[in-house]
Amino acid sequence: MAISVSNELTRAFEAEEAEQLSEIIRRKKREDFETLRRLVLAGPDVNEAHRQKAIYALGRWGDAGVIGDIERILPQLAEPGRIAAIDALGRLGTQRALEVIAQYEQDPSAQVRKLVVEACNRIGGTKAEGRLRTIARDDPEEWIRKLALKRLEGHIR
Amino acid sequence: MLLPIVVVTIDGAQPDIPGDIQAANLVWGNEIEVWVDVVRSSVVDRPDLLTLTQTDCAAAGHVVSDEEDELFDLGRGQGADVVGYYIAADTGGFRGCAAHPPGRRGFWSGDAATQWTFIHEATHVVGDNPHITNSDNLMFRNGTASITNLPPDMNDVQRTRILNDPALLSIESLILNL
Repeated sequence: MAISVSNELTRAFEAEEAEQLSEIIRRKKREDFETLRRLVLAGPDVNEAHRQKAIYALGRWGDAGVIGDIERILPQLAEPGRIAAIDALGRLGTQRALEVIAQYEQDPSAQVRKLVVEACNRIGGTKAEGRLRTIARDDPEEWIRKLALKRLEGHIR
Repeated sequence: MLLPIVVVTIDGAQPDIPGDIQAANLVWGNEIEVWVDVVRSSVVDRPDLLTLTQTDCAAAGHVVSDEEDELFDLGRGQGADVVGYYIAADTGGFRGCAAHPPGRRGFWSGDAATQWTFIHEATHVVGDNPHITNSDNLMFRNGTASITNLPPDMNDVQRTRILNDPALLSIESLILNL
């Protein structure tokens, strides 16, 4: 079944920049939140760029209740969607989010793994620092190992 | 008049620089006889900046992320006040953004960009032009993919604001300095 999306939200998805979507996030209307959540979990007929932006918005909304939704859809997402999802989980920032993020430490996309580093850095704490240590030691890309080490040093200082 | 601009491509991004400059000059050249002049173009190996993490893309009160801070350091001191960056995307998959750190004017354009994104973002930076509701206009708020009656138009306010921007150089001043 097609998901009903307000004109304002559709315009924000189609806009050149993130600014209009940020305005919707700032206003925090319940109906917008529910629409974003439905878009995240929608079937394969949904516009993937819109789903990516819905995930992006929910990461900035600050309601950790969507972590399970993002976890459920993550295995079905292409690279841009996984990037948005890992970034969103990092912003939501709970230990459950960190557990989901850790499952993508060996993602085939280096850009997704970079977002894993940034998400762990954002969450912080002993467990996140442990993930950063593992990435700094084991990631196949030198630039990601260096980035993880740099972020780890920021926590140790 | 010319707008000298430095272009920095993060290696891995897939821009169409000649197409973007052609589109830019089609709009600005026809509307105000200002030509975009790429004074230097370089490709930089910074995979950590290929997908940009931004806090926001707000015209006012923009919070500069660490990655933006690093990106907007590139291409400075190379003969232009304004630098255009080509990256793959931000984490939301938007086409571009003209929010920039104070004192480092520039914008980025992503792989999802249309041929009008580059000059749309440049028009935010040069003249500080906001979005408007006219769908025929370059600065249409619903995005460059939704602009009608191409090529995009500009209005008098936008023209004036660009022509008053200190980043522009007159062709006469360039000839006198040769």
